[in-house]
Amino acid sequence: MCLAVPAKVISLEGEDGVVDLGGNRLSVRMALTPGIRVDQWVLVHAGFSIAKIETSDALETWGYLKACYAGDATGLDRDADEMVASSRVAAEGTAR
Amino acid sequence: MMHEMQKLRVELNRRCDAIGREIRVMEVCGTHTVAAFRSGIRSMLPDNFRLISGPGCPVCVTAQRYIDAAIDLASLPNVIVATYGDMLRVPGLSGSLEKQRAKGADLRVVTSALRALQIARDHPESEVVFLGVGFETTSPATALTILEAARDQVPNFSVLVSHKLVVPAMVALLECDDMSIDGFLCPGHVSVIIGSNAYAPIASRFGKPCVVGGFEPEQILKALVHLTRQIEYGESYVENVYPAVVTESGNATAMDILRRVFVPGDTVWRALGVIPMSGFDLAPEFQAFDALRRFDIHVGEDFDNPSCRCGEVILGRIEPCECALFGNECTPLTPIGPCMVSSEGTCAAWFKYNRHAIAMGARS
Ligand code: SF4
Repeated sequence: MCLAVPAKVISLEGEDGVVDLGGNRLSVRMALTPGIRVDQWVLVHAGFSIAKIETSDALETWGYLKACYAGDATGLDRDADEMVASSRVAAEGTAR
Repeated sequence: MMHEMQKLRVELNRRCDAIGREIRVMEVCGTHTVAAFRSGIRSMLPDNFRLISGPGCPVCVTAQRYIDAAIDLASLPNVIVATYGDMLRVPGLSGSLEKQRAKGADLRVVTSALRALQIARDHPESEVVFLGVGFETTSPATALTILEAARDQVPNFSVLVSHKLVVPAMVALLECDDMSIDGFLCPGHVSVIIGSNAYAPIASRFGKPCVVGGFEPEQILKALVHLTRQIEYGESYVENVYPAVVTESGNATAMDILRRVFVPGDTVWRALGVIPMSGFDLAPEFQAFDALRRFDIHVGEDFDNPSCRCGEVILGRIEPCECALFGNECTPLTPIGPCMVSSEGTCAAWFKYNRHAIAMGARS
């Protein structure tokens, strides 16, 4: 329940932003990460961005999530698809 | 990456050998519980290293009386209860929210508190109650939503507040006489909000190493290596090995908002009972949004199922396979306690990833 997932900021309007989360567009409230700009990455949790994250770290995390999805992160991920799905739920705000 | 993992494993083994006794490290985050299993980290730990799951799953530590209050609210006419999905199947005294829904209650599963507020805006004729559960990763979302409801004067929105604070729970555990813990793997995303400095009292007052770690296999293993290093040298301080998103002071904006909307208050935890200042009450200015006050709901007592040992599991005293019901009467399809209901519950994680333990449970 405390999982937050990296997402790239696509557009900003006041305190609202649209982020790209693994290919899905989501509306996210950006009030907890003031000063964030388009093209930067944030951690998203329960419809809010909670921290800025460097692009390289965000890509590394997504690399791991995607590797899980493909089932080859460690060879032990029996339910990686579920993990990616639950990451999406963890991050989801108002789906577009 | 594999190379780095291998190096970390070698170091972990070497340090555990040097320590030469059982090492008990507790994680207090449901995401760590699941990630340690999923990544195979658990199965590569040295024999004398025990990774114990503490009270880190927000659903599991939610007291039964709170579920009962939520069910009472859901059974009122013209009330919509909006909740994160994990809460639906948690057993209360007389059933679960899911059962209440089958009886006709209007329950909506939401993935954000903002959705609950939107439901209130869309249904001005109904009252909408949001179930505010979760640790500090989640509570700022509730706080901001309450601020927004206050700003926009949404009169039919309220919150049943049961947010919890991680550090007071760790302190309460350490104050139990029979609790032997050598150090803590501290939760990554809670720490994004509260900052790694928040664990300083655990390290200084109780002499327990605290290491903040991420959720990928290498990040978890690295945190465990840093913990064993401190344990080996008899040191105790706070280390942050998840600097990509965790800072010493946390998210100042989120902490300010929490302080504005909530005041610290005593709260009751499943298995741990009432822990002083381990949760939030609404600040006086926002008490109009308190669902308990608005609907005059009385919060009763807990009557935990005596055969379910969730309490001991949450405290890290037993492992799930030591519960006679584990894998027999109690499975994710027929959960008896909250630790089996929540996908991040320790019993559910064991059931899913630790088949061999299930066999042991069936034998005992
Ligand atoms: S296995 Fe089921 S009954 Fe036993 S402690 Fe876990 S949740 Fe409770």
